[in-house]
Amino acid sequence: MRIFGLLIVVLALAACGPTYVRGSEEPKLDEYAMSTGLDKKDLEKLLDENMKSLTASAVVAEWKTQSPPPIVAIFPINNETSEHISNELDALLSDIETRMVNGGIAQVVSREKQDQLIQEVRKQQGGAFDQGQAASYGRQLGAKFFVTGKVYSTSERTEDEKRVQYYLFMQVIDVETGLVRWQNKAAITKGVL
Amino acid sequence: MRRNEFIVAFALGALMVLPLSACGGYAATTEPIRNALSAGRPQDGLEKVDDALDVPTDQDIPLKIKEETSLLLLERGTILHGLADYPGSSRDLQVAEKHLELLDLQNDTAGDIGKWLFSDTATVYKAPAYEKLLLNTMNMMNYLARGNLEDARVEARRLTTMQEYLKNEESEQKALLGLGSYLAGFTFEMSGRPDEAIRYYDEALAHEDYPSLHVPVARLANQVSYRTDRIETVLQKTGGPVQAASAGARPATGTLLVIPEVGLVPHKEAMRIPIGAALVIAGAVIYGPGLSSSQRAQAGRLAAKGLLMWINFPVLKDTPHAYDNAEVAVDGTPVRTETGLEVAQKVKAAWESIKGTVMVAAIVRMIARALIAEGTEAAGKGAGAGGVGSLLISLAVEGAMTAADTPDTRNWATLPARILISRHELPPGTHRITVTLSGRGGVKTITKEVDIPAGGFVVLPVSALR
Repeated sequence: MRIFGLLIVVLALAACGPTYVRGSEEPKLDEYAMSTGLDKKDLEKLLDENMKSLTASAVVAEWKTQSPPPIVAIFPINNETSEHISNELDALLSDIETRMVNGGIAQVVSREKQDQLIQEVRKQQGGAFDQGQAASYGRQLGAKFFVTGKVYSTSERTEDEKRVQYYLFMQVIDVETGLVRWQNKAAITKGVL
Repeated sequence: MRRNEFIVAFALGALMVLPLSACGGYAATTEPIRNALSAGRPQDGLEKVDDALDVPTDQDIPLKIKEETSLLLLERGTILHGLADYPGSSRDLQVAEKHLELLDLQNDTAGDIGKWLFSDTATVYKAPAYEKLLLNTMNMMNYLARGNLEDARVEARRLTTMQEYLKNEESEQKALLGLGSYLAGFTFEMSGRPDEAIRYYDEALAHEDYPSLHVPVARLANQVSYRTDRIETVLQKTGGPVQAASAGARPATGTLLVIPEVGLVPHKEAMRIPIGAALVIAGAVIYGPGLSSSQRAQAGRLAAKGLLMWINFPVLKDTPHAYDNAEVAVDGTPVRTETGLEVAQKVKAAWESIKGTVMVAAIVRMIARALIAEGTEAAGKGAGAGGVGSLLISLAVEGAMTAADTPDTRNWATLPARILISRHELPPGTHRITVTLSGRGGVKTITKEVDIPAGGFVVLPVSALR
């Protein structure tokens, strides 16, 4: 009997390997940080803060008086951080687009049309989007305004700690005049202690 | 059971258990990998790393990161880099970096205690400065080879964070890796960001006077006001800032950067060192406390009794390799090639700087063990064993303890011994690049065709592994 019990314990221990799970099965899966990079939760927080500021801005109030609302192009968010987060930032563009369209803030240039131009630009600029040329790209897309931004970070470490502070900086720029019509910065900190 | 009988029983038990804990360490794990690379069979080397990682293919990352996984991923990342699988190499280096960083930040109290009691391998692996800096440098090369400036800039920033940390925690000199700063400067120069580019180039020049940087630095100096004594010296050599192509004009040239990588860095191997020689090594401590005079006296007394004869210790050994030099030709014409980084020298210098400290820990461990063996001999006599019998027991215990002390042979062993640089401005279009490798393996020629874009760049790492 004792041996049988021992066998069960051994088998139970042998089965203690990693298991694949869904977020719905493990509600805390999205809660804890797995690295000092930006995850879904961080990006949502940074975007929420910026979109809240944009929605309350004078430029959006002005857009709401126009019928139809102006056409806006959403340009890539440049990665100026010390983390490889380009894919996450590309996903962020879709979130910005969704919020602008669903919130009735503006008409947004189709992603397909934009992606084509962006890929072309990235090829010319060695993988980066040159924000200095953004007005010219905006005109090519028939947009009156464009939304753009960058994420930058300051990264520091000591013998037993590492801290990365991220800032998502977003702007709305008038294609014709080049004037900045809105800008905001949201911050988040990640670390290993 | 009387006390003396208990000590003898304990010692005999230790004799049976201790040899089981002794193993060849990391050097034994990587031996088949190194052998395959030395014999010019990188694909075989890759399979051997996968075996060691216990994964089916070189596209798999082990789900569970064990003790040696991070280092083995560095080894695989280097081989994949050599075989021009740059995405695979980046993936491995990034996973390894994340885990090495966590190990580095870990408070390793148990390991620190274990180091003085059992073996240096009791500690978690904390990569030396040059390995930390080379990780970002190699990965920057991976991204540059793919023309991906955005991610190369990420690696450049990571390099800066690490340099700042090393500057604060270790020394200014250890925080410098000329090649890393050279490539970071190149990344920002090609990104059209002269202010950052010239600062990185200045750092590279602090490490070494790279002749291929003179004209680029003079060109950047025409665009930005940043100056240091080193920049001024370069400007004297070039006769002042050099005019860059005027804005809007189509550049007449593109930039080619060939990076030949040859040889293999030395690896560590376990060796039994006589106590006399060990005490000499321990006397050359650069960092941390050395052996106290009482510890020295104790070591001498135990050696005289025959209880402390040998120290198991890691030594650096040259890894055989076929090629140790490279020359570059563009469209059949030989062009200037300069040293980017003597990696093997960095490995040797890093080891020399800590060798004494590692030896002190090894001797202290062995003194503790010899004292146990001495106690065993006395206990053996007390338990009724004869003079010869008790001596044999004590010698056997000491021998088993020496065998159990696994020297720490962990190091990034597949790095190239030398990295060279050949940078040129070329007319846009297709060019034939020939890299001629030479060394004990004879002469080998690698030819590649590259398409240089006007105002753009091509980075071409050429590893002798290929």
